[in-house]
Amino acid sequence: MPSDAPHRDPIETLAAERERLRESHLDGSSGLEQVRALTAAVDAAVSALWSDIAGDRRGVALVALGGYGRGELSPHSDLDLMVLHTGVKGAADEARALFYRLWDAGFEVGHAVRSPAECLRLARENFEAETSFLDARRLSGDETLYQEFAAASVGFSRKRGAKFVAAARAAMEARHAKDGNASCLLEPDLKEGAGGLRDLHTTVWLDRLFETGSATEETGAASMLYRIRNHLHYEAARRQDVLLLHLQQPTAEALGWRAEEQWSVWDAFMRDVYRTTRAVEQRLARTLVELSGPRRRRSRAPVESASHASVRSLREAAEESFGDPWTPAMREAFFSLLRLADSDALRESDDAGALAAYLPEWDRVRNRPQHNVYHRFTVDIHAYETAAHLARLDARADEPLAARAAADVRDRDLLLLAGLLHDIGKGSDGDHSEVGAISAAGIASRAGFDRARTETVRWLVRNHLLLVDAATRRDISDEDLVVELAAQVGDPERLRMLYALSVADGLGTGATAWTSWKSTLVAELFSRMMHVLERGEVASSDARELFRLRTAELRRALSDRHPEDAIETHMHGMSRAYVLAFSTNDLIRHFALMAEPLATGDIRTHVAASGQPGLSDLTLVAADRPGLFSIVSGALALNGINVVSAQIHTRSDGAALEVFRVRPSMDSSIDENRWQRLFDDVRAALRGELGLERMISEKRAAYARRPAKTRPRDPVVVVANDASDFYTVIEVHALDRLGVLYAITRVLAEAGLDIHLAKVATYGEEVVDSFYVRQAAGEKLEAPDLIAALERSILGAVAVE
Amino acid sequence: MNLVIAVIKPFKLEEVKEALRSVGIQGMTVVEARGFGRQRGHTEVYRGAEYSIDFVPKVRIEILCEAGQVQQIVDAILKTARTGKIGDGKIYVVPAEQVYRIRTGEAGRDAI
Repeated sequence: MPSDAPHRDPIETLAAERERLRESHLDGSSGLEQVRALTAAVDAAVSALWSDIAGDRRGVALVALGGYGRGELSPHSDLDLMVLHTGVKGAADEARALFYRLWDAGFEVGHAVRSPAECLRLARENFEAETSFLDARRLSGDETLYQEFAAASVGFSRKRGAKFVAAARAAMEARHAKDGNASCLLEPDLKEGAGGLRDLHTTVWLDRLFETGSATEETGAASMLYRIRNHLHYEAARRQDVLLLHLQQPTAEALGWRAEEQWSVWDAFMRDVYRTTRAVEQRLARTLVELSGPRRRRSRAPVESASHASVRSLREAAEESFGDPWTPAMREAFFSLLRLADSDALRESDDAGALAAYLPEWDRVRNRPQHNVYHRFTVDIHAYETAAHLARLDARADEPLAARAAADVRDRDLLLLAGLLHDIGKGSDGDHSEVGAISAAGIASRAGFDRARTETVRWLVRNHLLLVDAATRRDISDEDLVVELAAQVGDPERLRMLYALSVADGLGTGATAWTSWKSTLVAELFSRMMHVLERGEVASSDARELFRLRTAELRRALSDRHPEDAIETHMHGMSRAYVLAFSTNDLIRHFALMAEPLATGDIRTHVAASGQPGLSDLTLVAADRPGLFSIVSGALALNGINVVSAQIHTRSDGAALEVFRVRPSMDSSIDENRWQRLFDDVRAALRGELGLERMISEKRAAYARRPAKTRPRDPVVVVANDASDFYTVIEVHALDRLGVLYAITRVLAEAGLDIHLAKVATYGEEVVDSFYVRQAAGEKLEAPDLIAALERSILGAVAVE
Repeated sequence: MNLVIAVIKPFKLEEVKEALRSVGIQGMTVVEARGFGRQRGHTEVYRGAEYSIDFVPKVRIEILCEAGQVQQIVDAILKTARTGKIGDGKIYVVPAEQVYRIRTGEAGRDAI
């Protein structure tokens, strides 16, 4: 056991030296200078300790392995030490004494005591050990023994040849797969990640063993990666190799990065990190291909990889043109690449510089980091992922609706281009969707898209967050919202594209962003909007625009008679579907009827000839109450007026607007007296002074029923919940007779259902009436027992006695 | 101490968060949740493709508070998360035996 050394303790000397080096790091010493100086300081301490413990003798050598052996220690790197011996007695005890000293001093020490033969056996079993021997360096002890071991290690690996290359590739792939593809991850691992130091060292080993000549390019990259890594170690006061989000900005500032136009300090720093790691990654990939290439050719015919072929055709096409607009050959090369559905091919094409002629705008997003917890990739990689997901979305089983929507999109190239460009506005000042829409439209038009297609690309990029934002932040069970969004999209093809883009964008962001939770909400919104569009319930223009336009027209027409805020309140109290369903003239007429507050029992009416002969349009306004529609229907029947169709809209303050298209059942027209009698009857019924039920059955009895020409079919009631997203649709087939509409709607009112829309059609002796209804709280009628009871009641009401 | 757990409609989260902040709540846990109650799942259909929604997406928020704050929190949620339609969700209040802040080891009301 060693006594306390008379000279200054080596550990203390080391600690002082490390403090000094920390200063020089902050003063700007390069990454490689630092790691070499740190190594020298540790060497001095370890050698001093070792000579105290063991002294120099034959048959024992102290050897540094791995990063320490290479002379590249970061402030808190592990020390990989090995005592190499030829069976000398006491070597293990000496080794243990050294390792304890180092542990006590706070080092993480990888330790081993081995003979050269044991080393070789280990190298055969373990690739990591094999490569750590390639970096071995003698610190102290038997020089001859060490030289034999070093020569044997290098000779062993070199002789393994292709097997070593394959092992290096497998290790690289395992490393990259472990934490995703780090050279574009937002929190790159500088050591183990793709393009990190381990990749860089692999390139160096391969060069040393097989003289690939690729190591010379690595000095600059190594110096930069080490400088950042050293800083992380110093700041964290421990081994910290992952460049975490919250460390990026302070590191960039401490290491002297500066902001540039369109690039903040943070973004510029990360861009430079990605540039470096991507270059390291590419050099390793290229080296591996070169080393394994000829061998592969022997076993089977050379296969040109997808990305190589793409790069070649992109280049050839671009060479023969001036870039603006694209030639047909450029278009073909570019869209063929997109259709491959291969994000690596896109990335490799860009890495090879083949996309620059097509998308000079790409500089803005290449290697640009994103500062939120959802994203895992830089903007450009995320764009490749999105485009690739889009191209194969139609085959995705876990997104059945999106798969179908993507398969139905007719203009696939347009969709793929919008997918690639959707985030191209990132990094600019202002809303990235707005800025990106302008750039994307410029690119689309350069790509030879006509005006309509260019406009669609612009629209998709500008609105690429519309569905996801609405689905997660707004009430998608609100019909007004869905109608408004549907009108904003305008047509089913555009909605399909937007939906596919939204899903691909989510999938391309990462699993934390696109949960099945979010997927469900977006699918539900898509499906509802699609139903609105497919049923043609909205005009294909911007609903909000139309709403503003209608309000403005109304104000212009009425502001001399009504205060503007009354018009405003009225418009906002009515549903969007209402505003979009009528013309401005209709709206003006309705407002005139609804402007003044309504007393209970009050009705206001308007009658006009419809465009078609024999048909009249009746508008009736009253304070809403249960059964209002039923009462009006009954009064109409009582006065010999048949209903052709009916719409009901209730303002939020409870003023009900009922719009009927009617025709007389006997006469050719309805005279003024008849209308007056009708309105009097409605008023009386609302006051409860008219026995509608009794009067209708009396009237029915008064008209001898004509004998049916054929045996009447039994009435049928169909209650459907899948026909509308917001209403239960009830369809009644029944024999036409006086007051049948009254009879049905009375049952609906008694069941507590609000009627939103009624469509009445007569086919010979049969009527088919449909009602869009919901319960008082706004829900559909879905309980099976309630549906069954309702069906029975309606059947009872329409049955012919 | 109590744990207030509320299951609400996703789009109400922002509103509820604001309301809770305005009654002085400093922190909460928010989880994307799914489930069903009276509001059952359903199936969305697009041209033959079906997306079956067995569990309806909801947001679950958890707030740790002193007993005296419970009513205020419950009222804020009741007021803001309500749409009056089916599926507005539920609030449960459960006793919390003890609370620790992991960083400092503080316990009890200091840790809330």
